[in-house]
Amino acid sequence: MKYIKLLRFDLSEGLLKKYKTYIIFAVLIIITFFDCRVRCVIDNVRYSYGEYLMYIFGGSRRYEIELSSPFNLPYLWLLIHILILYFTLNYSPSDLSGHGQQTIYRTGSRLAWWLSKCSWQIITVAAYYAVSWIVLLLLSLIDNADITTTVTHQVFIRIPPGATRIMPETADLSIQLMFMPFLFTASMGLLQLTLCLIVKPIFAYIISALVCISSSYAQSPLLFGNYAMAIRNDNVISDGMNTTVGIISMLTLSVLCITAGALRFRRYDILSKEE
Amino acid sequence: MLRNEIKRAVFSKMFLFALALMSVFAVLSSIYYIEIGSDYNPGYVERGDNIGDVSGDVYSPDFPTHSLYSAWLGGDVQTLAYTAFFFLFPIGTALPFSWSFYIEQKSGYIKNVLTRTSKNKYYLAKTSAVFISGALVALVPYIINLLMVSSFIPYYYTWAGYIFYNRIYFGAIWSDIFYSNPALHMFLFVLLNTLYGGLYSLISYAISFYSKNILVILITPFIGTLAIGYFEELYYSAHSDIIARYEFDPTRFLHSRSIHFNQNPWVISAITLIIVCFVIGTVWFKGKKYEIY
Repeated sequence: MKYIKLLRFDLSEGLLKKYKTYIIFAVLIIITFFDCRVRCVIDNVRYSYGEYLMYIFGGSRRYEIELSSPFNLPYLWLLIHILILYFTLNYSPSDLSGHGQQTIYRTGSRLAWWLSKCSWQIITVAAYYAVSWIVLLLLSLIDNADITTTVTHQVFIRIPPGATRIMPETADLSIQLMFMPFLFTASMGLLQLTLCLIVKPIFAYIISALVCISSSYAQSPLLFGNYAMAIRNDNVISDGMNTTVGIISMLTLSVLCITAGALRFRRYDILSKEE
Repeated sequence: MLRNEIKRAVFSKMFLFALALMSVFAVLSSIYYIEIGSDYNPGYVERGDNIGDVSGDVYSPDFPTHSLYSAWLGGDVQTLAYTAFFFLFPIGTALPFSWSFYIEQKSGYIKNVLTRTSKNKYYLAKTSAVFISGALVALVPYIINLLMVSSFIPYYYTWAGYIFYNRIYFGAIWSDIFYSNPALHMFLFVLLNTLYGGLYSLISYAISFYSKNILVILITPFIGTLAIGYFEELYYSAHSDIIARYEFDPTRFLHSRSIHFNQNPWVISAITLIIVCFVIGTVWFKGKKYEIY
C-alpha cells in the first residue's frame, strides 16, 4: 500500500509534471521523421513504419578498424538514449535531498521508497518510448506509409561491408526495434539510479554515456547497447547479437541494480545528502 | 582575488577527477598506437617494394601514416579512447569549476565576496579561473599523450600523396601547414583544443546564470554538442547538392583530421565568436543585474 501511494506520487511529480521533456522528445522524433522522409525521397523508396523505427532506433553498423575509415558517432542513436537518461537523471537525487527525506520518515519504509523509484524509472522510460512510437505511427499514417515492422531498405543501406545479411525480406523486427531499445534504456536508467546512491549523479551519467558510446564502437555481448541496435541483431546479420541473450542480460542487470540499490539504501545516510 | 579563484579551481577534487578522466583516454590512445607501432618496422618497409622517391631519399610513403603526426591523440581516428575523449570533452572540461558560481550563490559564499570586492573584479577573476581550469583539462592530456607517443614512435615528414590516410584535405584549416610543418600543425590544434576546453567550461558557467540545477549546468553543453552533430548530418542529407561540407560540431572540428567533413577556418571562427559573445554577454548583462540579496 505504501509502495502504491509512493509510486502514484512519483508518477505525478516525476512523470506528469515533467511533460515539457516529453514535448522536447516528441519534437526530436518529428524532426527525425522528416529527416528520414527526405532520405527516402532521395533514395526513391517507399518507407514503412518499421523503416522509420529502424532509422531512429536501429543503431549503427559494426565498426571495423581501418586506417582510412575513422569511427563516426551514431549521433541519432546516442542522442535518443542519452537524452532519456538525462531527463530521468535528476528526479530521484533531488527528491532525496528534498521532501524524500520526509516521505521516508513518515512512511517508515526505505524499501518502498526505493522500489517506487525503480518502478518510476521503468515507467518513465516506457513513456518516452510510447511517445516516440505514437508520434511515428501518427506521422506514418498521415504520410500513407505501410504500418508494418518489416524493414528492407534501411537494412540494405546500413549493413557492414563483408557481413552476411540473413534477414528475410518479410521478417518482423518489432521486438528488436521496439522492445530492445526500451529495455536497454530502462536497464541503463536503473544502473544510473543505483550509481547515484554511490557517486554523484554527474558521474553516474558519465558512466551511462560511456556505456552508450562503447556499445556503438565495439560489438561485444558485454556492451549491452549492442542488443538495442537492430542492425547488429542476429536476425539481420550472420554474426549478430542474440535477442534472447540480450533480454536475459539486461533483465539480470536490472534485477542486480534493484537489489544492490535496495541493500545500499538500507544503510544510506539520507540526512547528509546534498546536491 | 584572481590567484585565490585559480587556486580554488585547480586544487580541487573535481579538477583532479576531470583531469584523470580525460588523461585516461589520452593514455589509452597512446598505448594503442605504441602497441601497433611495435609491429611496424620501418627498416623492413625501407627494403620492401613500397618505396617512392621523395626529395631524393629512399623513402616509403607508408612512413608518415605510422609516424608521431598520425599516432598522437589528434591524429588518432580509430580508437575508442579518442572517441570517448572528444565525446566527453564538453562534460570533462566543465567539471572542474564551471559550477562554482551556482554553488557560491546557493551557499551564500558570494555574499561574503561581493561585500568585500567589486562585482567586476569578482566576475573577471571567476571567468578567468573557469577558463583556465577547462583549458588545463584539455591541455594536460595532450601533453601526456605527446610525451608517451613521441617516446616510442618516430617523426616522419608527412606526404600529401596519402591524403586519404592522413585525412587532411585541401581547404581544411591549416592543411598547408600540415604538409610543410606538421609539428606546427600539431601545436596549433593543441592550442585550439586548449582554447575550446576553456570555452566549453565558460559555456557551462554562463548557463549557471540561467539555471539553478547543477546537472543542467554541466550536461547542457554536452547534449547541445550531440544535437549539433545530429543536425549537421540532417542538414547535409537534406541538401545533398552541397559539395563543400564543413564541420559545425566543435568536438569534430577540434580533431586535427577530417572525421566526417572538412574543418573550415571561417566556420570555426564564427562558432568561436558566437560562444565568446554568448559568454561575455551573459556574464556582462546578467552579472550586472545580479543582486546578492
